[in-house]
Amino acid sequence: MSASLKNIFTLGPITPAFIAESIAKHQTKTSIGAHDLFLGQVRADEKEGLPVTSILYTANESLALSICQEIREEAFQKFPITCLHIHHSLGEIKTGEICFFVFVSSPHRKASFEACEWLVNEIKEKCPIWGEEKTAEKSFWKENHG
Amino acid sequence: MHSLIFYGKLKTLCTETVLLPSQISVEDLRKSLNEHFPQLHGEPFLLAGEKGMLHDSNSLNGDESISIMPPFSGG
Repeated sequence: MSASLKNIFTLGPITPAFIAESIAKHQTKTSIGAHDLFLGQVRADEKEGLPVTSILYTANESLALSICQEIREEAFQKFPITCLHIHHSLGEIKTGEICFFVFVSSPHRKASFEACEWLVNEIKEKCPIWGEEKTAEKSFWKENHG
Repeated sequence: MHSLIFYGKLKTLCTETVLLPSQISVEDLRKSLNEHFPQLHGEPFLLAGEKGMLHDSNSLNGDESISIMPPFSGG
């Protein structure tokens, strides 16, 4: 893994405390007038009659970080944003916990809204990360739909 | 010899090793993988080398680590 690539991975869930701290860190950046946050939460879908209790996330980590870097650079070219932060969980994340956090800040709200949605879609489509949904009885490989 | 790393659901389907020539087009690599691993039949997969995603028009000119990856499902 290249030292110059920004890490996006957190082992375990992304905690509300971490998210709050991320917001607080931006209070000194006073050119910012808008933040947009996307939080992906593990959903208790039903599989073969049983609820999903957790998702086990794995990734091709070095490739994912390299692709994320390209996505990050493209976002700064496409949108007038001040900063962006991407966090994704690895390991087993229980239903109700946060596994994906995208945080975009800009002087005005439109850029944050648009960049955040674009980033979430790009990461889901292009980053080599896989989720394995677990019920009490068996596992199912997650598929992303739209 | 290229080393193959299978990810996601393919990790449990493909556990054998296979010898592949150092110089091979990605199109031929894909064909070889399908021949060696019948369990890949009907499973869509993407390929990546050490420098990023590989496309059928690319070629490999030296041994490297090849990632064989099912569709992504992060987020």
